[in-house]
Formats: sequence, structure tokens, C-alpha cells
Amino acid sequence: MQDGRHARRRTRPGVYLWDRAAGVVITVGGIGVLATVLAIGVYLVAAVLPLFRGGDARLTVQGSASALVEQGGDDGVAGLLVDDFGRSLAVIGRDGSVRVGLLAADGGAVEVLLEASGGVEGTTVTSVGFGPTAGGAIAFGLGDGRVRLGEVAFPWRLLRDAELSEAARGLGVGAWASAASLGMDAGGTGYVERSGDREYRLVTPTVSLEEPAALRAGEGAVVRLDDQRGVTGRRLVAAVREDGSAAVSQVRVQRPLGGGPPRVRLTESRLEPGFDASDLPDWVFVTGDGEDLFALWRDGRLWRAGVGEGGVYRVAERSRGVGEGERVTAASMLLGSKTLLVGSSEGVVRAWFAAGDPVAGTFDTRRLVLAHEIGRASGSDGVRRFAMSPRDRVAAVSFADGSITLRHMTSEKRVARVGDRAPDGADEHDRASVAGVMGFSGSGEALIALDADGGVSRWHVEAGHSDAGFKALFGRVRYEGQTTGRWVYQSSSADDASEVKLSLTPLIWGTLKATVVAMLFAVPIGVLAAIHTSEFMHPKTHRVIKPTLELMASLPSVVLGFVAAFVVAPYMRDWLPAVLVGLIVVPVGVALVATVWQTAPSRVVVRLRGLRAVAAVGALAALLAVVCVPLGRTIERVGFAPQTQDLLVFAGSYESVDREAWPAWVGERATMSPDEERRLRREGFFFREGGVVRPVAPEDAAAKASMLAEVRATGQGLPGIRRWLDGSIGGAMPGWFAALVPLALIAAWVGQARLVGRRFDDWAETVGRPTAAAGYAARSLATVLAAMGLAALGAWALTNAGYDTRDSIFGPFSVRNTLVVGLIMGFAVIPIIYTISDDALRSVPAGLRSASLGAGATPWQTVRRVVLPVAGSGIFSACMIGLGRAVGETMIVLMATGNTPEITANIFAGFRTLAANIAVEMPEAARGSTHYRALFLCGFVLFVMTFIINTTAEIVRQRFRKRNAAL
Amino acid sequence: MSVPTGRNPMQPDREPDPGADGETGEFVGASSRTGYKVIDAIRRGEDVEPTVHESLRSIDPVLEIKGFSLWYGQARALWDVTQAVPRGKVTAIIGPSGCGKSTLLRSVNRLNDLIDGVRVGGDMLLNTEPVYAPQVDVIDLRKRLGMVFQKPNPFPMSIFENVVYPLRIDGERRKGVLEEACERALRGAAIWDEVKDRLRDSALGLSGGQQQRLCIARAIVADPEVLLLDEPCSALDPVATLRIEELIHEISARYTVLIVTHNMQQAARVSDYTSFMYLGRLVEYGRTSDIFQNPRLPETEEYVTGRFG
Repeated sequence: MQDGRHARRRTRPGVYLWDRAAGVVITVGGIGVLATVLAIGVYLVAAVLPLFRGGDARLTVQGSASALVEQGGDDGVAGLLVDDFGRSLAVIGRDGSVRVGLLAADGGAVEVLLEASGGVEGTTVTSVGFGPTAGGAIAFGLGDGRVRLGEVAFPWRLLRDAELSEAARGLGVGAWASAASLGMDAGGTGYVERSGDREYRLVTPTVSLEEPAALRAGEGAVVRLDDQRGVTGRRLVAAVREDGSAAVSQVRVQRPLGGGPPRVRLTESRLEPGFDASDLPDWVFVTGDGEDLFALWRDGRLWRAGVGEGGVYRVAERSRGVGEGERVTAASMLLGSKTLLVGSSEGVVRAWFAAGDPVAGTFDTRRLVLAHEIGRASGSDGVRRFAMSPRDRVAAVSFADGSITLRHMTSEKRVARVGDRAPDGADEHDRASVAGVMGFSGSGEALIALDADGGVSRWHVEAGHSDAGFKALFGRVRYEGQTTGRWVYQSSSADDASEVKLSLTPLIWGTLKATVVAMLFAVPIGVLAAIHTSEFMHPKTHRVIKPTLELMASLPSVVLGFVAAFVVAPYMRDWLPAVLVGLIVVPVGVALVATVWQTAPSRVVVRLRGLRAVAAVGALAALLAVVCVPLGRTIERVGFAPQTQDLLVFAGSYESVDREAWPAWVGERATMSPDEERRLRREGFFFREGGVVRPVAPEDAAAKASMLAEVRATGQGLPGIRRWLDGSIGGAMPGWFAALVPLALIAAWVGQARLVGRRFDDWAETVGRPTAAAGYAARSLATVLAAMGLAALGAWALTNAGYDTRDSIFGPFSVRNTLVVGLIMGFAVIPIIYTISDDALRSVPAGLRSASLGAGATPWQTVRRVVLPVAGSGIFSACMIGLGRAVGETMIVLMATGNTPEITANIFAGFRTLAANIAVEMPEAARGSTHYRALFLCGFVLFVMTFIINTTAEIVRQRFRKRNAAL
Repeated sequence: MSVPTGRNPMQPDREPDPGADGETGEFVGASSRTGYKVIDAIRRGEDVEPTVHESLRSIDPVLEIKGFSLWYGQARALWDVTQAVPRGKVTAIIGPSGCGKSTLLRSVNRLNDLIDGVRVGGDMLLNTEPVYAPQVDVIDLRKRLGMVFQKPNPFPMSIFENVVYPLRIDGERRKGVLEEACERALRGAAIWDEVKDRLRDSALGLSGGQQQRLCIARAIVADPEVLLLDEPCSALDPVATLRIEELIHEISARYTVLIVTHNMQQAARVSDYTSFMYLGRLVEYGRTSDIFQNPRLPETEEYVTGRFG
């Protein structure tokens, strides 16, 4: 420095080091975040995709079964039963023979393990009842009119080391051989399989046959037989005899105490009248619950008989099971013994079941429903046979061309298709000969089919997620027992036979419903609050209000959910009229008072500013809320009271209506849902004790008055908004009025602005301020009154047109309902919308405001014409981000709704959202199961929804930003 | 009258950054004593009688500022300013930064009302009507005045909508009236030929100078009694500045213009009368030619010749 030169400035090496280190860390972190997000997305997709994929069937064994099947192919075979592992099979012949054979692992000939016959000395087997879903049960119909029940079982156990022969020890893992060939005496015929490294199991097929039991009804041989087992384990046998008489018998097997052979008792319920002996059905089936008896002819006729008076079956419906011109070629009951599968000569598979329907017109008010109709797979011919998986609702359908399709009969998803392709080139399969009669193993993992020429094939079946699929997950499905297709979510079921109902549509609906209602509350409040604080509020007040509101955002949603469920929901239940009235009265009242306030002298008006103004509005709102309590009670008494006709019926003053005068939709029923009762009431009728009645007023006016007074004094006669919501009292008018008031307010406001707005402004300019202010106040009041009138008029018109809000936005009240969630979730979302909107408003250049105000615009004009258009994009993204939060919100909806996955617009009903569904069910979903993946699909749908919302928000924001870039 | 009590949206643009123009707000070599009688008296906080030239005695004032004072909270910004603005002329207010010239201008249309904690004393008369009387409707008052700010601030709307904005907020909807007013204002602001083919385009696409002329068009579309220009060229390049100055000259034929500037050459070029302010007080006020060539006070002479300030 002394010589005038500056010292050279140096950057210390440590600084460079930190620079580089920070760069590396930041880069790694950034890439890591991106990679993680991407990985989560990929994982979600990977977890979800299998739901939409089919399964697979792999040919594992092929061999000859000529030892089991008589010459003539599979026509003589009634059916197959397979053990749990798909190694041995029992072939049940139409002649009553039962032959159990063991597949040869190397593709050789089937080794016969056991032979038995269902026949009895002196007569022949004339029919075989073979319920593939009945767990090994078979029934033989005999020529002398008796029925012989039997069972083929494949019990198994693991072998102890000491029991193994040397030959058995020599088996490879996964190999099997008959016990006899291994030199083992395993207490009967059977086979040994080395199922694990040190695990050997012994399967010993048994055929047990009971003593024949005589059928009392009818004459001649038993020519058609069906044997089904219901969910309760009750065994039912349906039999048709030569003379056409038919009966369903409940089977009881009595084992005498002192030993001796068990005796079979049949409790018969006859079909009256029987079938025409010259036109016997080709198949009969009884449902597992014994409610229905199906009879099916090859020409396509499908009759359903139901249980009538005296426990006698009577034909209830005569229908067709297949299309015109088609013939029935195969039929079988599906797992659960409720649904009948009918295969046609055109290769179409139809699933039929009977469901209760009051207007069915049948004596048992049930009717046949075509639940599924699966068109012919390309290139396949008529249906030959069915086989039903004992584990799920997968059916194997073999076609005349030799192909087999495995299809889930609820989701209609094709699991696999075999037989028309070679499994591995070398093993080219002969299409024409494949796939006669088939059977699933007990595990549902193996399918064994006999060929026409005595060959046998075994496929290993990976069903995959057969019960899911696009249609099952999003579409309407006709589930068993329902007459119409529905969206149902019901992930858990009692047993394998019930259909898993995994439609996500109710969950998506619930998510949207919660979001929309929450946004209805949050957007106006949040955005208006932001406009107020940023444009009109004193900066000092703003500095207090904003952090306070932002503090609201930090409230854990579980706390809000708790408040919603245990404070707001019970409060709303107890004070429903006040709450509903308050939703309209508080905002409208505040607005009205605000306009009236302008008539006060300026001196007074000016004093109310800043926090004082906020406090005043709060106090006013609180006061109005208090006023709403008596007001609500009054409105409940006036609008939601029982009508005279209701009271008369409550008093017991009614007469029954002739059957002919009943509305057609009522049909035959013992009970009615509230919705239906309300519908009936609208037509002037009531439903009492299974019949339609009509109120009758006593002739004497005094008697009528006293009767009404008496009923009014009881609980039934009291007015009540919740009973009105249930539909048990009152008309549609008050509901329409309540629903129309908000719309009418908007309409009235817009209308008056159009009609008198300008003239009114011109007039206001000519008079003094107090007069003008009074005029404005009067105008607001008049507008509100006009809105009320408009709403009443609309309500009257809609009521007379026969519409009722209780069919849509209103309905039965549940304590944890949409309104509660909407309110609380609205409050969870408000801080977000508020903060971001406020920031957006404040970032509007001050110069624009100056320019507008300097041009003589009022602050509100400035906001509306200049500030809002500029801040609009920010406010829009604020709303979208709020929407995103509401869509994904979990705890509030989880705690404050009943989590009922229903699709209804009723704001007093609960719902279940995707997020809540995941939270509720994830702990009970088995990893990798369909249910588990369906929950991941919920997450994926949620992700897609928020992605769409956020992307929209971003696109809009970018567009606006570009437009306002020059500011 | 209800005074809007919003947070002040326009607190900025009060004075440009002093450092940028080399202005310090103080005389060069500032010390408590400068040797100038009036300046020293002002600095001591004494009341000083402004030097008003005789040429202003006989004018017809459109705006009379009478003993006007203004406080930002505790800080006093204007001290008993009394000034008459002649009708149909261009009056410039000059002075170093922080002298209160912009504050005075914004007090005319009461934009200062919006600033937190502003109090005023004295009054102004706009065409003999008081500006600060309690019964005055501020919004109506502002409709009588046009204002152009330092920074061009067109709205993010079309050029047409920008110009007719003052009419729109008054509820004018007739298309013919709006179009006619728009063309008149744009011609008045000498920008008609440049924008007549793209009236529907966004005003934000115009250049800075064009934007400022658009703002002038917006300010004159409703025929203001006084046009207030708050350093309208300070954000513009020299060429644009020149055009604006020419425009001010043209406009002065029809409107009274009150312009704040700290560019003395500009004041000399465009104005008929000039007032010199210092620390919130009016120091000297007279014809522009007199102020620049023959000022009464040595302080004024020093300032206009650029020896300080």
C-alpha cells in the first residue's frame, strides 16, 4: 500500500471447496427428489397394473386317460372332481361309475387308483346330479325312483419320516407317484407327492356312497338331478322323474346311535304342477338357498319356480335363457349356487340369477335377471361344458372348437384362454380333441380337462386379479341379487362365494362431493377475506389478521376432524334448523345490515374502521346466529310440520285402497324404504302393514279437529326437520324453498341491477347522501324480499310439477354428513386460499391502483376492474391449491363422515373418499392381494386427480403471468 | 363522505431515488449555515414569506392553494403553502428531492388521504370549490382532475379500454360516445396515429413513451379541470421525453397543467409559471422566464443554474 499499489485480493481455497461441495449436495439433492417422485409414480403404476392384466394358464401335464374313460369319449362323463393339488381326478360317468385316477407326471397314462359305482343292484343309474361347486358331492338318480347320495373326497396329510419307503425318498421335489408303486401301504389307495425338500404328503381319495333314499313324489326313474350346497352347508337335491313330477329335497343324514349304516332322509318340496312328461327339461338346478328352481331346455326355454304357499314350488316365470335362434348347449351353477350359467350354441355365455323385485309381477315378487352376457370369443364355437373354480367366481368354458376360456363371472374379465395355442411348440395340441369335460382343483390353481379321444391335460392357472378389471373397478355391475347394475364398493366379504365389489366410482364421487361442498364454503370466504384485508383493511389490522388466519392452516387436520365429529356433528344434529337457517340468514343479514348502515351519518360510519369494523361484523354475525335459533324453530314449525293427511294416518284414520288403484310401481312387498314411502305419499297414499292406504277424515269437523290435536300432541305429530328429511312427513315445498333461496338471491340481485340499476343510480345522484343511502338500503331489502318471493314461487311450481328435493340434494339425515365435512374442510382450506390470494392481490403494482383511484374510481371499482383481473390468476391458483388440499384431505373426512361408500347427492348423507378409504382399509389388506392393489389404485386415481388440478392451475397461472409480464 | 381507509396503495413514487440523479436534497457542502438568508431561515424552521412575483397578481386561478400544510404522522411535509395556479397555463413546481412538490401535487386530488396517518391543514379551492371540506366526495373530486404518474401505468387491458376507463367507471356504455371520446383523447395525447389500428391490443405492448402518452390520454379523456403531471418523464428516455414535452405544450392550449419536475430545463421548456419549493415551503413563484432568467432570490438563481441541487 505504501508504494500506492493495492494488495491483490484472493479467494481462499476453502471457499472454493465449500462452493463445490454445496453444488454437489444441491445437485444430488435435486436429482434425488426428482428420482424419488418418479420412483413413487412408477411404483404406483406397477402396483396398479396387474389389476388390469389377465391371468395365465400353462399346460403342465398331458397324458392318456383311456383307463378312466370308456370308449366314446367324454360324452359319457357327467363331470370331473379334482383334488386340492390337481394330481388326481375323479371321473363321474353318466352310468354312475366313479373312477379315480392319478395323472402321470411324465405324460404317460393315468393310473387308476379307485373305482366305485353309484348304481344299485337291480336298477340303473338314470341321472347324475353333479354340483361342481358342492365340494365333491354327487347324487345319482336311479331307475326305480330312488336317489343315492355320495361324496368324493381327497383328504391329505403330511407324512412322517418313518412312514416313507425308500422309493418315496427317491422322489424329486414336486414329483408324485401312487403309494402302491412306491411300495407303501398308506391305508388305502392314494399317492405320495414330495411337496418340499423334506415334506411329503399323502393324498388318499375316497368315494363314499350312502344308502339310496326313495322319493315320494311321482313315478318312474329319476331322470334329472341337481345337487347343490348352500352357504349354510345345507344340501339340496332337485329331482325330476319320468312322469314329469319334480321336487326339491332337503337332505339330512342320520347316523344311528348304536352304529349301523347312516340313513338319508329327504324332506321334499314338490313342484306343482309338475312338468309335462313328454317335454321334460334337460337341466334342473336348485339355488343353494332353495329359493328358486331353474328348469332349462335345450331349445332355450328357462323357467323359474319359486316357493309359494305351503312350501310348494310353483313356476313363477317362463323365459328364455338364450337368444332367439340359439340353443342351450351347457348349463351349470356358479360358485355360491345362486347364479346359473347358460352356454349357447352360438358360444355366448349368460349368467342368470333371481332377484327380488316388487314389480316383477310374479307371485314371489322375484324375477330372473340377466346379469352378464359374454359374447362369443372370436373363432370359438358353441359352448360345450362349464367348470367352476371352487375358490372364486372363475368359470372355465370349453367350446366346441376345442378352446377353453377362463373368465371371471363378476368382472367379466378373461383370465386366460387355452387350447388354441401350443404351450411350447413341441407340444402342439390337437384342437379338435381337446377340452371335453373339465374340473378345477380344490385350490383353483389347476384345471384338468379330458379330451374326446381319451387324452387328459392339466393346466396350471394363475388367475391373477381376476375379480378386478376396468369394468369392475369403474363401471356398473349387476351383482347377485340386484336387478340393476350398480356401483358398489364393499371390499370385504363373508366367504369366497360372495362377489367382491370394488367399484371406485362411489369413492371418486365421495371425493368430488366433499371437495365441491368444501370449496363452496372456502372459496367465497377465503377470496373475499383476502380482498378485504389487502384492499380495504387498515395495514395495522392486516398485520394482525393475516398471521392469525395463517395460524389456522397449521391446525392439524386430525384436530379439525375431531372437532367436526364430536362438536360440529352433534351440534348440527341438535340444532339442525338453526344451522340451516343460519347458512342463509347470517351472510344475507350481514350484507343487509351493511347497506342499511350506510344510511347512518358519515361521522358515525367513519368511526367504524379497522379492527373495530371486523369486531362489529363478528358481533353482528354472532347476533344473527343467535337469532337463528328461534327463527329456525319457527321455520321448522311452519314448514316442516306433518301435513293433515300425515296426521290422519298417524291417528289411524285411514282406509285400505283397492289393489287396482295402487300405483304400478308398488308391486308386491312387505316393506317400503323411506324414499319409496315418500314417493307414495306424494301420490296421496300411505303404506301400512304391507298395503297401500289412503287417509280418511272424519265427517265431523270437530271430531277431525280433536283428532288432529290429539296426534299433534304425540311425538309423531310434532314438526321435525329430520323427520321431514326422512320423508315421513311434510311436502316438497319447504325443501325447494330452502334450496332455491341462494339461487333466487343471486337472480334477484342480477335482475334488479339490470332492471332498475341505472335508473336508481341516476336518481341517487340527484338526491342527498342520506336519502340515497336510504334508497340503497330499501333497494337491498326489497331485493331480499323479492328473492324470497321468487324462491317461494319456484318452490311452488316445482312441487306441483312433482319434483322433490329429497330425491336429490336432501335426504335422510346422518349425523356425520357432507355438510359437516364441507364446513370443517372448508375451514381447513380457507387459510391456504386466503394467504395465496392475499399475496396475489398485494403483488398487483401499486401504480395501477393509483391510476384507477386517480381517475376517479371507487376502491371497489378499482378492485373489480383493475386489481382482480391482474390478481385473478393468483386467486385462481389459490383456489386450485385449496382444491388439491381438499381432494387429498384424509383425517377430516375419515373422522367426520360415516365412511359409507354411497353415491347420492344428499348433503345430509355420509360418503367415503379415496383418501379415507386408503387410510381405513390399508391395515387390513393383504399385501399383493386384489384389495391391496385396489387401494393403490385409489391412490393412483387420487394422484391423477390432484395432478390434473395442479397442472390446470399451473397452466392458467403461466398464461396470466405471460399476459401480465409487462406490468 | 366516507374516506376509504385502505392501506395506501401508492406510497412509492413520491420522489425518485435522490442518489440516481446526484441530488442530495441538500445544497452542496451542506452545513447548517449556507449564507443564504431564506434557506437558512427555513432550516431554522422559521416562517418565511414566499417571494411571489407581481405577474401573478392579476391571473385567473383555477386552483388556489391556501395556507396548506400536511403532516405524515409527526413529520410535517408542507408548511403553509399558498399558491394560485393560473387557468389555461402550464405551471411547474421545481425543487430538490424531498421538498414536498409531489406531496403538494397529490394533495390536489387527495391521493394522500389513502396514506396512513396523513393530516392536513389549510385548504385548496378548485374552481372556488373547497377540496378539503368535510362534505366533499373524494371520488367526485378526483373525477374533476386528471393525473399522470412518474412511471407509465397503463392497465392490463386494451388500449381502447385504458383510454375510456374513466368513462366506464362513470357508467358510460354507449359505444359511440366511448369511441368518439377515445379518439379525441388519443389525438389530444398525440398518439392516435400510432395506435389507431390496434386499439384492441393490450396497452402493455406499447413502448414506455407511448404508454405515458396513453396515460395522458386517459387523464384527459374526461376533460379534467386541472391535469396533474407528477414527473411524467422521469422514467423515459430523452426522445420520449421530448415528445411528452411537446405534448404538454400542445395540451396547454386546452387544459390547465400542473407539473412537478426536477429537471429544470424541462420546467423552463414547457411551463409558463414556475414555483420553487424547498423543505416543504414555497420559496419563489413567478413567470418561468423570470424565475430562470431574473429570479428575485439568490437561492433560486443558484438552484436553477445548477450550482446546487
